[in-house]
Amino acid sequence: MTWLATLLVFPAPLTGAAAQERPQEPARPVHSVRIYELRDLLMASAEASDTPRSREWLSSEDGRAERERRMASGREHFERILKTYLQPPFDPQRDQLRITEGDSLVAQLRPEQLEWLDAFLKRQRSEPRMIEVELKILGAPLGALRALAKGTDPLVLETPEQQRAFDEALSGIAGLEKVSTPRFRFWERVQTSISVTDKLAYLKDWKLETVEPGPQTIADPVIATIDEGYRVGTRTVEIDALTIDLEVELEWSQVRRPIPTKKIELDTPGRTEVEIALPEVDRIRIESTVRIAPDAKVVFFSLPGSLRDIAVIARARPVEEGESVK
Amino acid sequence: MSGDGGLWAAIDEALDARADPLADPRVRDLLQRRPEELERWMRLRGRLARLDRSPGRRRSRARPAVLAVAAVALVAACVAALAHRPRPSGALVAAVAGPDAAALRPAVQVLSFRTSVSTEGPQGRRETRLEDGWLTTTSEVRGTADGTGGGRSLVSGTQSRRLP
Repeated sequence: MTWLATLLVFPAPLTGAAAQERPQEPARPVHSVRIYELRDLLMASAEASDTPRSREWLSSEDGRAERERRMASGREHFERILKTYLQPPFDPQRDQLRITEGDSLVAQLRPEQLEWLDAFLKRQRSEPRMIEVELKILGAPLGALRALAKGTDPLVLETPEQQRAFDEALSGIAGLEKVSTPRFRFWERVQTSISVTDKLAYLKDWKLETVEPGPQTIADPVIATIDEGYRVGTRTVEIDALTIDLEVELEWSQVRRPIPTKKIELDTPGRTEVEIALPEVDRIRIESTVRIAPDAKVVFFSLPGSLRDIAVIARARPVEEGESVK
Repeated sequence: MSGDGGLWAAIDEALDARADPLADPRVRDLLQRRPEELERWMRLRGRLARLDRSPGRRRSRARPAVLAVAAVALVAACVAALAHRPRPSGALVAAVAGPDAAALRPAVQVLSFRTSVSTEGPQGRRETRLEDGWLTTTSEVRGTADGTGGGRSLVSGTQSRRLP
């Protein structure tokens, strides 16, 4: 059953003196309240990327916090999707849409909106789509990629001509590096991510320990680690044949080299001199939500202030039925 | 004959002849009788329309008018046909409503965008953040008496400005 209850909300009729005094208002559209059960959809997307074993863990007491985090993220995402794409458009002054913590959708909408909502939910249940997201993460000397941007906004490349012109401009950049070109194929509404990181160990400090035989004081090195690399995540929903809602997230980090060091004297009888590292890490974060057509691309640029420019080119398209995995 | 009654063969034939498939009464008739094929047709039509919109392609002046009239006639015929059929599936409603609704919107739109760049070390942290049109710069200097950093914050500051 797709929905649990419907309650019709009619504009209250005016009676008596109030009806006579107030000028006649134009008829307002009738809203109905419907309550839909969404737990199956939210659970399906929360568990889709798990193996049977991790799914078991997720349903145990130990996995409770992670399960709740995923469900909360799914509720927030689903509500945003509905409010963004509802037809006729969602009007926050008149319409209401809310997903409760119990995973029920409470919708107070006009009949045409409810019709759209019914069709959307039905399609989400009966024909979930697999979407392919292709990302290109590019690096270049500072300022080189940003020169292709218009201000700070992402660049939208809708036509093949625009895409070709952008590719030509890219090919003219000296020192352009394809950091990575991950391609995701996953069910819509499922959060996906890839991490490629190296752990860099460095000498952070020295600690003095008093030990036997002796007693004597010796210096014990304190080793710390920094993650260097990137993590990229996506989430999609196919809204209609020409529209995909795409969320993209990139976290990129790089340690500045050479790593600065400093000599310090330890408070030991011989005033031992040791060296420690003082690494500096550049981090870039890009987060965006776009409404994208299957043939279009969007380019996100990092801000100036890092060691180098980073850009992410994103595109998304539905995987056609029977299409092979290349 | 294939299960689609020859619909897709007729569409292919029209496209091969560089003609509008909707101008062919056979295609209109077959689509009207097979609303389940509408979603696939709408997809194809959407892609063709996108190709057609791209700059550099020459377009006939008469064609859009013919296409528009044919499209309106087809949609009206389909709606009439659907009214006498069992209630269509959600997918079909979405397919019928979807591309028309989509045609009214820009094909691509950035709904939200935020980005930040930061440099962090034992001696402090500098961050520039762009969110909702605001550019915010934060800096914090940390330090200890021996100059190795990592201690408590000594100086910190934030500046914001709205981008034009």
